[in-house]
Amino acid sequence: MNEQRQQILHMLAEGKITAQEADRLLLALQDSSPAGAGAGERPSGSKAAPRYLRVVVDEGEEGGTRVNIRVPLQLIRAGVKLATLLPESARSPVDQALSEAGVPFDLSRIKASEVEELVEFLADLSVDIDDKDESVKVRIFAE
Amino acid sequence: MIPVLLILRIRSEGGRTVRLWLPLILLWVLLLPIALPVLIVLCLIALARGGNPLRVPVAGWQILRGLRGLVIDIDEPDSTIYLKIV
Repeated sequence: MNEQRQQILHMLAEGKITAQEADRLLLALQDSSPAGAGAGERPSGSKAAPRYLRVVVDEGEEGGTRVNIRVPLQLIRAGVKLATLLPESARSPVDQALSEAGVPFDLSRIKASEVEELVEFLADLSVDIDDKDESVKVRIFAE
Repeated sequence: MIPVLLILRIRSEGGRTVRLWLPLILLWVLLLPIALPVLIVLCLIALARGGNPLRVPVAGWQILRGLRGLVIDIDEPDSTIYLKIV
């Protein structure tokens, strides 16, 4: 069992994530693993740790909107840590809004190790949206 | 290392373009005298709210360091905004 898989199961056992969330994370982990490797296995040292989160939006058509955003993962890491410093009065509405959006997340429970885990998982993130009707391409990935 | 240079390019609807190369290192030097009192006030606020006062400067420093490498490039047919922090 690889380390990330173990972390997900550990978080599930501790009740930090629900079974559905764990299932989703395990599936994402499986999808992100290279074809040659076994289920959830990642060849160690084959890939450098990503440093940036990239968001690329391309409308495709001539003169369409193009968005290219590169956010250092270090900034995301620091931002999440800063969120834990929010006073209770500011945190509650944020937690509530996140819950309403389907992300039951308690900012006060975030620990430094969990922030590292979050960024680590973010590094494996890859979202590709190709809307042929609107000719819009959206790519979110870490590099 | 903290960011040292900010490159900003804005092209507005009328085709007017503003290019700005801001040496942040000079800005940090200018802001240094007010940074210390602000830091003390923030630490006191954190302390009053029952938080760890040391986490404020640490988080601030990490955000400052994390800004390096940020690129925002939005290109629309009639306007453009490009921001890069080096």
